[in-house]
Formats: sequence, C-alpha cells, structure tokens
Amino acid sequence: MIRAMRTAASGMMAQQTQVDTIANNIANVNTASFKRNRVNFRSLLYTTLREPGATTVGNQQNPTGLQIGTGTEVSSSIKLFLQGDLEQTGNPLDLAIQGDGFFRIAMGNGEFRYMRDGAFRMDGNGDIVTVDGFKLEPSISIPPDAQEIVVAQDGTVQVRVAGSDALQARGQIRLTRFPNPSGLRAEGANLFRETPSSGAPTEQTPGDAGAGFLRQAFLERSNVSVVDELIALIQAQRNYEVNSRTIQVSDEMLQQVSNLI
Amino acid sequence: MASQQRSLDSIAANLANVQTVGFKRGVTASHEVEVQRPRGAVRGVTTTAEVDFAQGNLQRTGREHDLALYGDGFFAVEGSDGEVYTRDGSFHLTESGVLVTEDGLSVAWDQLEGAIDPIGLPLKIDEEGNVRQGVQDIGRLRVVAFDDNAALRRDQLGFWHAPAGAKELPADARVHQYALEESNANGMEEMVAMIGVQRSFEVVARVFEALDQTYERLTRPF
Repeated sequence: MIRAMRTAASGMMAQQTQVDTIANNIANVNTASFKRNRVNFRSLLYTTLREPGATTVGNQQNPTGLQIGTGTEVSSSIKLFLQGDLEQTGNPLDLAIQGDGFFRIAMGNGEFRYMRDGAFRMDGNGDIVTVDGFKLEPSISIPPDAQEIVVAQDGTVQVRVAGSDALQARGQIRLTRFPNPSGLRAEGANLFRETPSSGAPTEQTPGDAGAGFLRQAFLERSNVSVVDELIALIQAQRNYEVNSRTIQVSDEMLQQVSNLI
Repeated sequence: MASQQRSLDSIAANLANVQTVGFKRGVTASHEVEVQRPRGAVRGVTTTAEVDFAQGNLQRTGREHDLALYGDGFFAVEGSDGEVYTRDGSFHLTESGVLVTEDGLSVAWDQLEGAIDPIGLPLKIDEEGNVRQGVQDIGRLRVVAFDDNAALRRDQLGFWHAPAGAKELPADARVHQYALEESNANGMEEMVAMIGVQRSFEVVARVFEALDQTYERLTRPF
C-alpha cells in the first residue's frame, strides 16, 4: 500500500507539471508566434514480482508473471512548432513566416538566436531590429528617406526613396531551419537557441525546399487554442483527483490493518 | 489481503499513467490455489497480473513525427541489447536524419531505401508505415505483432521485450501520422475497481477480527 501511495504521488506530480505547462500556454495565448508546449509522460520503473514463465504454487508455469508499475514521470516537454494563424497588422516591418523556418538574430556578441516573431522595427541607423533592439542577420538597413518598404515572399527587401519611382534592392532576409526544431532551447523573449539535439542550422531562401514564405504586414499569432488548453486543464485536474483518491484509499486500508492489532 | 494490496498497487499505476502515450493498463486477477503439504492440502490465493492490450483512443496532435498504431502491433526500436517494442510513437528527427524515440533509440526499419534529409520536405507516412519525403521513398517502418502478447516483458522505461523464440506475426496495425495513442487506462474504471479492492480488503479484515474474537473467547479464563 505504501507502493500504491508513492505511485499515486508520482501521478500527482506529473499532473502538476501538466498544469504548469497549460498555465504557461494559456498565459501566452496573445504572444506573437508563441508555440505551445506539450508534456510527454512515460511509465516508471516496473517491479517484477514474478518473472513470466516462473514456476508457481502447485508446480505450474506462470503464463504471465507479475509485473507492477510504480507510476509515471514527465519524460520530456516539447514545443509544438505548428503554424499559428496569421493576422494582418498593416505595419510594413511586421513579417510572418508561413511554413517552416526562423529568423536569425545577432545578439551583438557574436552569438545568434532564432525566432519566429517577426515584429521588426528600425533603429536609429535604419537597421532592421527586433522589438528588443537585436539586429536581424544578415543585417538590412533602410535609408532614412525611404517612403515605402516592400518585402517579397522570398525575403527580398526593396525600398522606394523620396523623389524616385523605382524600387531599390536593399538585401534579402533569409530563414534558418533545424532538423529537429523541438530540440531548440527556449530562452524567453521569443528567442530560441541552437542545441546538440536541435541539430545544426541551415540557411535558406524563403520558399526554397521546405522553407516557409514571408508575409509582409502580417504577424503570426500564438498557436495556443484556449478551448483545447481548458479541456486539458480539466483532464489534468480530474487525473490529479483520482490519484489523490488512491492515496486516500491506501491510507484507509492501512488504517484497517492497524485496527486489527 | 496481500492479493488485494497488489491489486491496489496495479490500479495506482494505471491511474498514474492515464496520460502516458501508448500505455497499456495492468489487470490483476486472484485465483484460488491448492498447495499440497505433507499434512494435506492448504488453500490460498495467488495474484496474476496481465496486461490489457486493448486499443487506446487516437488523439490528433498535428505534429509531423507523431505516429499512432491502430490495431495489434508495435513499433520496433533498436534497444541497447537488441530490438525492443513500443506503442509510443512520439518520435523525433535527429541532426543526421535518424528517426528516434523520446529516449533517443533509433526506430527500426523493414527496409531502408534512402536517407531522410533532416531539413528537407515534411515526411509523409501512410497506413502501412511507408515513409516518403517529397517524391523520394525512404523505406518502411518495422511494425511487428506477436502471437502471444502475454509473453512480452516490460522494462524499466516501459519498452516491451520479446522472449527468445517469440513468434512474430505480420502486424495488422495501421499507422496514423499526426496522432498519438492515448493510454487505455480510464480514470472511471480504475476508480470503480479501486472501490472493489477496498471493500474486499475490508471483508478480509473482518474475517481476521472474527477469528481474533474466537481465539479470545477460547483463551478467556472461565
């Protein structure tokens, strides 16, 4: 019964992690390009009380043995990189990625981070930067007298300066892709960092061989669905409840034993 | 009483795993046995634990590397000492284009015709387990079934091991991409079973009490 209690406790702990994750998903329902997290569970350590095929009482072969699990644990939490809805904003420097890929952001110290949040701005030098002021890589600068900025689906940035009708090319935004985006490390502020499990980054032209397209004047919404999260929350609560009930039942049974003495 | 206790342990494990992908619930059963002793037969109770391999619900996740099996069968993966089997199809793609499980074990193939390009087009996996990337055939995932699932043994990470000489059958399981198989343990059923165990335990405890009272009466001074 002590085993049943610990087993139930492991279930409660796992459900707690689930609720924490759901809370974070719901809190980010309005964060641009947020990707919802999913917690994966796995069953914990099987105790073999009797080997399958062992001889039982009465000299008979046991056909199945007796293996009892000792609960559950959270095996991993992964980001689900599913496309979020695109929302039109009208701002020419809001870029949404439709499909796979990340923007490459220079941190200024030689390191790079990756993000899908395409709410870009211009800094004092005319460089395209994130809302936190980090430069887009490769860096693209917009002349101060630019009247119009056009970003094509393949990432080509063109501007029309005052007193001219022709569009002038300023560079091309490129997208970075990873073999296993779920393996990226989330660093907060919508930034992701490369890890050994994400694999090495590959730069691609938007729209090329599996990379997504860019959509100017759009932002990618969070891919959290509040309804799904609330259903998951109710499930987690119920599962927590039944696990706590197991502890209660074990306790009552132990009490009965102690009453015998 | 020991038998009820094991049943409770098993129910507790099922309840803890109601959200574990591909989990198969354990069912305990008590049997009466007769043990021959030099002075006659003694009756007792033994517990057996079986695994209920019933299909779990498929839940759509939309993730490319999530696979669910519908029907009898297992995904084969390369364990440290030979092939092990799992129903949990939440796979990942590594940097070198290898499909692996959550624990990093590579997924086994029936035949591997080409390599997966880790940054190429999304994989398309059909119901037979044939994997295609764009127009290129990658191969076929190894999905196996056994003639006797009861002989399988679960290891500490929840992978199934087949005993030596286990007979493999062609699996009739269909592979569903973008979905995962939920645990087949159900909170309601397990709760009902738990109440049953608790009551049986209570009855046995009462028998103990009755016996105790009888002995007490016998030993009471006249």
